[in-house]
Amino acid sequence: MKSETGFDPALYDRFPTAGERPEGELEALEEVWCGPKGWQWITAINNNFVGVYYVGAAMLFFVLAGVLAVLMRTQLAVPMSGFLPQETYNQFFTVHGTTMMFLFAVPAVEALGVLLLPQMLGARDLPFPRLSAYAFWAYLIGGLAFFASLFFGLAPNGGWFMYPPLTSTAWSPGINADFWLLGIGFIEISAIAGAIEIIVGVLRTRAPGMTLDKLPIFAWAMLIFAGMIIIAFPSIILSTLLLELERALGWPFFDPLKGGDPLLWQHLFWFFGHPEVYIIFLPAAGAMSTIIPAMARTPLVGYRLVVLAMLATGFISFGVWAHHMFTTGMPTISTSFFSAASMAVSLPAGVQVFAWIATIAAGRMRFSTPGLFVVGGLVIFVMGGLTGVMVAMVPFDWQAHDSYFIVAHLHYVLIGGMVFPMFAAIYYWLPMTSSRPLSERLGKWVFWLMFAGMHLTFLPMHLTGLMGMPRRVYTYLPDRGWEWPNLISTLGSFLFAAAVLIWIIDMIRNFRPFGGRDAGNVFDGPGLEWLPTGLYSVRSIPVVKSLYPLWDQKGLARDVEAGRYFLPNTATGERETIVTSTLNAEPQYLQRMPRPSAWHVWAAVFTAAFFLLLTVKAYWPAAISGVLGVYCILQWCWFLDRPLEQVAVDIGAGVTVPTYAAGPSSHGWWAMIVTLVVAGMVLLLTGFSYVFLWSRNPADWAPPPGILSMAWAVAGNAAAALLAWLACRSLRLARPRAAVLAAVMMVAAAGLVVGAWWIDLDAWRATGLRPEANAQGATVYAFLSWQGLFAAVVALMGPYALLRWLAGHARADRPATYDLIALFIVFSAGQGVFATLLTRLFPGG
Amino acid sequence: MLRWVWMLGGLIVWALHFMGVYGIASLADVVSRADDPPWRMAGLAFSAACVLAALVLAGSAARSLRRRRDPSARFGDQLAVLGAGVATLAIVWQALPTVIGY
Repeated sequence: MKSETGFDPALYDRFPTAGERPEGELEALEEVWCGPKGWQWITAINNNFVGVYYVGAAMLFFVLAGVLAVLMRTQLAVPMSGFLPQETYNQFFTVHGTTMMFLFAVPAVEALGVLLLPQMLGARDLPFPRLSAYAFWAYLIGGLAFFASLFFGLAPNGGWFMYPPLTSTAWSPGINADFWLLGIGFIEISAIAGAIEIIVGVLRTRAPGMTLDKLPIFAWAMLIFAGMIIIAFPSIILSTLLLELERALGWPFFDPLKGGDPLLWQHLFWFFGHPEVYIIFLPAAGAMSTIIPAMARTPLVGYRLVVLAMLATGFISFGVWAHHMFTTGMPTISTSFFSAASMAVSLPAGVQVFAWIATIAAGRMRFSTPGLFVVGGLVIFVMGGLTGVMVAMVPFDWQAHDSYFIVAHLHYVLIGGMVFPMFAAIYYWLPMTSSRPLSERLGKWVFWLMFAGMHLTFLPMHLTGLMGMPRRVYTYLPDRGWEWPNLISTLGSFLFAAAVLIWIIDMIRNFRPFGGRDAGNVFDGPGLEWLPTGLYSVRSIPVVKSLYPLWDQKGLARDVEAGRYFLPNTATGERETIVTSTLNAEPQYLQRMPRPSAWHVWAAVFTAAFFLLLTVKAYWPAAISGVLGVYCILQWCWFLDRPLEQVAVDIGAGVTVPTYAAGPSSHGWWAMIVTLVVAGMVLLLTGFSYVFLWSRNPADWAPPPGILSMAWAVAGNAAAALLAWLACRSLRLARPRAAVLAAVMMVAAAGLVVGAWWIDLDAWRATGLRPEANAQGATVYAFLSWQGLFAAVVALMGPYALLRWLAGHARADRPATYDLIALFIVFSAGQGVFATLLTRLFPGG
Repeated sequence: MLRWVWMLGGLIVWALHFMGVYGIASLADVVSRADDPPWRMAGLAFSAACVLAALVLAGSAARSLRRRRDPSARFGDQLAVLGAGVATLAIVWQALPTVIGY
């Protein structure tokens, strides 16, 4: 095998090592990775804890949203029912949809990744465990506060996709819509934080030898899922930001009277909203592709094709957003393109379905509870997929749009494509984290009740939809033929609820996490996650030689448990994991992992408080929370980038790797790049919004400010980027004054970014254009506000770099922090140039 | 990073294609009408260029695949060939509305 990094693959032949391991090695490992006690449960960062908290919270939201669904179905059981008032019903269906999509589906699969990936990849933990914990606490606090708005009558009521003008202040004057906009926008930040963790984790912390063709299919799915979050979620962040700016400050992005357009919301929302479906589906499909081979006791048929199909799904999911907008009067050729693309989605989905069927046919399928759930999910998903092809056809969609047919379709896809696989995953992987598996007998009851309940609830909805029943109505008149289908749907929902109730009872009876032992590999799974583990993950990190290591590498579990592979100890006396290369997983360096602390929890608390207080318009307390949140994040960052005394350590069998890395080979660099991709997507979509709104009323756009201010702004940003780059070069020189020079240049670069932003802002203000005047003003000031946010962060980073130098943390042998600050400054400068040039030169004047 | 771009090349061309044809139709809608024949032909020409790019990628990846013996490197080439093949079919499929129904 050709080396990717210069590492000699022949070194793998030294493993498994022979002989006994030194005494006390395992005890030291256990000591370093010890579990929390008392209040430390809150500050725990180990994925074995945070992953379980995360999955638990997601399932809590599933149950809460499910209760709302049952109450709504009770209301609709008979015509003209008075069980729920209209306004309450509106809030219920909005919170049900929002909770299921934002607080259950995405976090549940992300949580599954946080819980499973380290063990599956053979890592001690994901590379940023505090980030995972921060994402979890932010999500939990924000999610509970959002859901609790129901109890005060403050919940949003505009549907889960919150179309303006219904959600503009004219039609939604209270703060209900703000709860959605700020609450969900905030929770999505937590989803992005999780995605960064997963991308870097899958690419950089795989066990040595786990090349891409040996990467577990679930890890592939999680990698694609996280990549999709990075591309799609900025769109919902931007759209919620724009609508909130319109509601709070009167910036008319969506108001046609001032040159705005409500269709902009639909484009931005669905550019996120449609990929969201695949974001939910892909990890669940990855779980299916993992569980089916284990239950059928045979390798997955067409592994390469399934990987390709998942990648293709990821790509095409961004090309179909406007099929939710067929009825908005887009040009025929555009609807035809979107229709063709939407039908094409069925091909990669079909490849996966046929691979699953072929695997089941090739093996000896066991229909225990996980087996039942995967097969049931497959049947339901195929049915939902078929109606998906129907609604991809424009004439049919015109008839079915906003009817109960769509409700039936989306529930078939989401329940078959995500809920059933999620239950299969819970039943399959729970023995990994619990000392007892769930009950097979109760599990079968859960499956059959859920399967029957699902079909009873949603199959009749196809008919009620075709008979003309619109979605989101709180009641209906008798004698339209809708009574029986609705009554059957309601009875079905009760069956579904009974299944969930039995599952909860089963969990209470049998789920015993965080103990010293687990139930073990009860289904004979082939992945590394079934190796014997402790809180440190695997005892030693194996060399992976197969896609199914536990089936193909004989004696692997025994040798791993005996410490005969990589890192059988704590090489530095700290928590640590091996960072490997992205393609061939060759060992590159040893990453020191953080220990628990409270800063990330406080940061999550204050960030959540900031957004929630903004929602209730308590501006001063919100500002104080924001400042405290920033302080906690700075405290958290301050203890990063501290090299160890040992420059290099033996990670087993005489293989030595460094303990520090900076630049493109470091995990921090990758995380910053992914973060900047998120910011870049927001920028591109803001650019799209600008051009889109211009195209609505080109004649109404005023000329931009003069060219001199543009030249100053561009020059300032260019100089900032150059200085930031020079600062990094200077720091690496290891000369007496190099560090101070680097610090000064970094501060100057930060000052230039702020200065360039101010010049641009001042020039636009001088033209007399105001953000509330028209769509041009709104989008120009949106650009300026976004750049202002970055200028503020850069203004913090400059002095932070100086402080690091003053404290002796800026040195030639520890340039990572300066590299990352420079990356951020260069991006901010580039963003400033892009915004300035676009708003000045297009359409010009 | 280059290796990733190589593996995903066909899919990237496909993504560029659907963004491109939507962009051309949207531009046409601002300038005149999206369904006007000259604009549709511009879209078709763009599709043809994308098909060509995908075919070139598929051919290059197939040649690379024949040369390699290492399984992990072959995996990347296999993804590249399959991705470019799928992209070719998908681009042709998505270009069909430009020529059918008018």
